[in-house]
Amino acid sequence: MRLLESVMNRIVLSKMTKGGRESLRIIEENSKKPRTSNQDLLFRLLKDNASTEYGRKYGFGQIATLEEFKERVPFSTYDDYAPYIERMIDNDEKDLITAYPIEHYAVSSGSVGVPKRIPVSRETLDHYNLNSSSRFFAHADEAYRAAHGGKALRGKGLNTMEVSVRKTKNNVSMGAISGASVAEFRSFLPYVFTSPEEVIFPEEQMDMKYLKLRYALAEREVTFMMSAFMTGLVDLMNYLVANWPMFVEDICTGTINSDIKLSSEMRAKLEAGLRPDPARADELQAAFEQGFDEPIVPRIWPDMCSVGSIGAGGFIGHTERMRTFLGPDVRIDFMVYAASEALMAAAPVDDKPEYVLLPDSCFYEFVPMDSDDEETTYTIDQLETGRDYEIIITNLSGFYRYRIKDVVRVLGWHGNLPLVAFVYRKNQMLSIAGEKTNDEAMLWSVQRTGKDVGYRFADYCVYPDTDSDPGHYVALLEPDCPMDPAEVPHVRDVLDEYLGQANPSYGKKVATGVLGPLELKISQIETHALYRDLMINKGVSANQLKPVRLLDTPMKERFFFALVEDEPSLDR
Amino acid sequence: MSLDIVKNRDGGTLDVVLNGRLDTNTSPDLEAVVKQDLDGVTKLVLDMAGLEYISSAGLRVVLAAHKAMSKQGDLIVRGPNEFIMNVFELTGFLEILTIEDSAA
Repeated sequence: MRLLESVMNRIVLSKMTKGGRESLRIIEENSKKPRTSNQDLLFRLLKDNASTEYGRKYGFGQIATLEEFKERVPFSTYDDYAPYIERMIDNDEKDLITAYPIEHYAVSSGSVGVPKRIPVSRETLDHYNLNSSSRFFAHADEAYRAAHGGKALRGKGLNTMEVSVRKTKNNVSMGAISGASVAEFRSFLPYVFTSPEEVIFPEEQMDMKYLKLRYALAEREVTFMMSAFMTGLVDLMNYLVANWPMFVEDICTGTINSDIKLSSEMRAKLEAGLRPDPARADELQAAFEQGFDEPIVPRIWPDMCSVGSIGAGGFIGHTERMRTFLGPDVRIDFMVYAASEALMAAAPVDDKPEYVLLPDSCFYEFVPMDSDDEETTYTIDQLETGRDYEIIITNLSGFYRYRIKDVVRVLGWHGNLPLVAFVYRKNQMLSIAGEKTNDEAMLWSVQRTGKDVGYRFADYCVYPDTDSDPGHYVALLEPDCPMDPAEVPHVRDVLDEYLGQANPSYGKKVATGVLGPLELKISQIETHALYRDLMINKGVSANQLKPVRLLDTPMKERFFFALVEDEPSLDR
Repeated sequence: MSLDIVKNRDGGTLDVVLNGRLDTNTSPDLEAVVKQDLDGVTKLVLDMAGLEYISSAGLRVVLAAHKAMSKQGDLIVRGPNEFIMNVFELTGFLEILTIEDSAA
């Protein structure tokens, strides 16, 4: 790095780290407060929003107790707010659901594919900035100091972020919430990330995998990686394995490969900042020629210390895959448990996929999943370790008693704050005959099956076949190498057995014939990657693409069933 | 089974005739064409009349070709058989590809 760049790198990282330490300090402070302090936030929100149209409709101004709040204000979903949000966006109307100015509309995929446009207030954005990226830098700094004799974090990060922010006709930004957060630091980003501004904020279609890797590989001192989801990093590593000679050549000559499609203006702009670096090219070539059986990351970036990415729950298979590239010493920060509506929890420590609920981010209510009563809610001080709860939030941007449809498990306590893990989406549960198989059970079964049969299943999804009698599950597993068709019956048997263990209700219903036995199909290699490519081609942000686990729309059903291996499927 | 690729360049038009199977093993061969041979091409024709099978890996390369050509011209997929047309239909590729029959 040049001197100015190096100085700015340290200044910006120091500022981010300081912000992150503040995030961790606030978490610690809140963990010492009585569990009931979350209600202070609720009554502030009710007071501030009493004069809004929604607040007047439900009498926020007359609510004096939690019981009154629960009696007066109904549970809500996005559809309850959609008419107000349309008026806010189209007519710039104020004080409809929130009194706070809206800084951004977070675009998120709706449950039936209709995009949701979720208002984001300044306070929500501040929570994202502080508890997501800044908090990560505090952990990365700790990891770096531990590996470098106490020296503060330096070096750049490989970030998979691509930010595309549009404007409403009233000039409010609109796009993925993660992008809004990044955009606030636009001028500082080139000092801490390897990608230049043109790659972080692309204005034309470009080969983003190539460009992100091209710039990151050119740097020796890459000390951290960040990605919204772990799939983004695994995709990059797979691309590197397949294309490393191209990068060696391009770094040697200081060019963008001529096979990479770019406008001539963009190519000229990007190449102007590149210089030939034969020494770095030689280093990389030597590392790549040793193969990829041993972790490649420490060999090409020896100072790499920390990865920040959502990699728990349904992403855990991708996290395991990423570990094979990273080796055992690079720490993984599992970042946050968040949605476009709110950042609800953050990882207080590295390498543990558990999150502490942030009591200043939302007012929380919880419905126990083992109860038939879906109306009675419990507060943050009434949770029990080991139980699963549907989470209901009143957020900082105008949503009240909002059913986000997530189920979390209380893993323990961080002081007085619950430590939770996202378990599954309530509306993604398989239940043909009341057996209620969630994705956690499916994931566990697929992982155990993979270990038993000696295959790594890169991805999987499930289809509930209710047309057959009795209904049954169809599992579609994608191995990362070709599977011998003769092995498929055994894999099916093992998976069905584990599913019965993971969800005894499923096992019992199969044993008694209420459900038919599992049907297994093998997805063609790269099917899930193709699905991601197609979604990105349709304009979906890569930062919002979660793995497909349930074939719950005709489009997904057609797509995934069209791409199974053509051997006969195994049923019964 | 392998994939035979025959390239015919006529000015800005590149005809790529595919025979065999476009799958995990053979898709890197077509990917190389997409990466290396599109300079100055304003019309890319993927002639699939002799293509028997296409897998997810092959579709990813077709999608990459579509993406590359969207900046510099047109991509035409010519003469896919019934099986491949069915795959295109089920996976949503019919919405993004321009398809001609073999006689065109």
